[in-house]
Amino acid sequence: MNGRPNSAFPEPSDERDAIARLLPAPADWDLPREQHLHHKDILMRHIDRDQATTPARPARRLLRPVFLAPVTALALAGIVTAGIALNEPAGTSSSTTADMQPVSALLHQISDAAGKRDAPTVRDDQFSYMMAKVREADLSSGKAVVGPLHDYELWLSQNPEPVRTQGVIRTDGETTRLNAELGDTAGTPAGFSRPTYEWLGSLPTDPDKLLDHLYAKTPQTDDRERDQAVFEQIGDLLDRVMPPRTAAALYRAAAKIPGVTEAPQAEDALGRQGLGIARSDKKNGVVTEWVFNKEDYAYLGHRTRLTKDASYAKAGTLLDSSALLKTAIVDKTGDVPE
Amino acid sequence: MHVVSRREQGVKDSDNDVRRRVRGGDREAFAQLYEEFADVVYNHALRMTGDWSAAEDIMSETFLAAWRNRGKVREDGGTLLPWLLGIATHKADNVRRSVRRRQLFLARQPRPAPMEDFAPQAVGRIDDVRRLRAVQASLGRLRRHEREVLALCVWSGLDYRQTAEALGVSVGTVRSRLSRTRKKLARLTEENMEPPTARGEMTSAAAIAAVPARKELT
Repeated sequence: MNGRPNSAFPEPSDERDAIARLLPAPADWDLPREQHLHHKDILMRHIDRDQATTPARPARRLLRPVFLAPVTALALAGIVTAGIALNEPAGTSSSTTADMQPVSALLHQISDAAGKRDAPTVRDDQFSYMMAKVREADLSSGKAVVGPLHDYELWLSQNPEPVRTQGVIRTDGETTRLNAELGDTAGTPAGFSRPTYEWLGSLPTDPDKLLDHLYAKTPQTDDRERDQAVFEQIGDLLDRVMPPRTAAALYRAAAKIPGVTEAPQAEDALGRQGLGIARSDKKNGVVTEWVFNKEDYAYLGHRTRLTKDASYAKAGTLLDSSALLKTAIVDKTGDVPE
Repeated sequence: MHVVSRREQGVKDSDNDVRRRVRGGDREAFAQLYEEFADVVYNHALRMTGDWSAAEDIMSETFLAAWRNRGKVREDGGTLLPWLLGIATHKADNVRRSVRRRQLFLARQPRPAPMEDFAPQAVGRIDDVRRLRAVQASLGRLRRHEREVLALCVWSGLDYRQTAEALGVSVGTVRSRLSRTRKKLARLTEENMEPPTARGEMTSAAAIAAVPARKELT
């Protein structure tokens, strides 16, 4: 398989040659043949299924939950294959047995407080805003280098339709447009990767149903325990503006995930401590903690660390953390509330 | 402006036949497309992300996206590789986009995986792994547009017109982005190239990578 184009009529190539000398291409790698056959098989089955079902029906809607896992989820989870999720019945977790874990009482208090907060009015043409400090490890050298704190701001469009521009990110003063997720050529619809206020409000508010939904929709991978993936999926939503009923349900759903514990030592990216909730992925040696304000149970931030030595860092190394400073609904990107 | 015939642009009738079949949803055409280009797409994604697992996902997703978007393929225009690499580039950019997510993603990769997974090939390839990492760090010093033209037009060997097609920009834009990229790389290399030591060579990739980390979010 070598389809590299031979450009028979190249442009004057000084520029390209000069660049190639400055930064030559890394060597090619071959994906093992069985991997290739696996992905080809996915493609062929996808095509067959599309053609077997009513051809007039837009394939995207049908396939979205499986094949268009948002890049954030992809990136988080390193999606394995699209096919797996298809055969996964909803709510196959062992969560039903976990109702009585000691952490439940604390999460229920957090849930009650969240449920009593005021619900903002959100128009379709507005943006949800979030300001945080983040710190993470840079692993690109092969060794973890924990970086400095960064300013991180996010404006997310509340447009209920699929959007080509999801919003804007500003990191340390530098602004980036957040485009549609991969593959979403007609725009990214609201969903886990683009949690609009309205979409969050459409999630089940019964904790059991919500948990089933989360287990069904969270991509499953080899390198992360399933329960951990769902816990972190909830964590990804906590720094968004969301309906109080949804927030309350999320915390009660989290209380049902096996292995969730209290974590008094937990701190966020600014070192703020408070009420801690954690889940440890023992197999993969990673722990994620959430921190809440002791007085009003408000979410403060999170921290993810290694719990065992890895080739790129020692146990205890920070991988990723955040400290939420502000959330609001604003009229346009760039607006910062008082 | 100069006029070139279609033949001179490298457009072959067989390419346009493939285009028609792809447009029409011909299953076999997609199977052939995969066989012909999967490796090229994979390596492009790998060079842009430096991550084997992400590259594999991007490759797989690229062909699925191609299937979904087959109706947008024009009937003529030669090989479909620029189209595929355009899709893959977009996906790779998205993977890179959020530094925060990216780091988390990398953190979750079982680190020795490249060596384990590629053990048979890895013998004697340790330098290739190092080099891939060094090049990744260098790419981090470039802006998105610069990375894209570098990966497409220099590394994957698309010509200017094909690169323009992949990125949905004009040939003039490709030209000016390339020029900007060359100047920047030259500057970064010069700033950091140190006299070779007795022990080791300072490659330009290492020199560029040695520039103090700057914001990558472009």
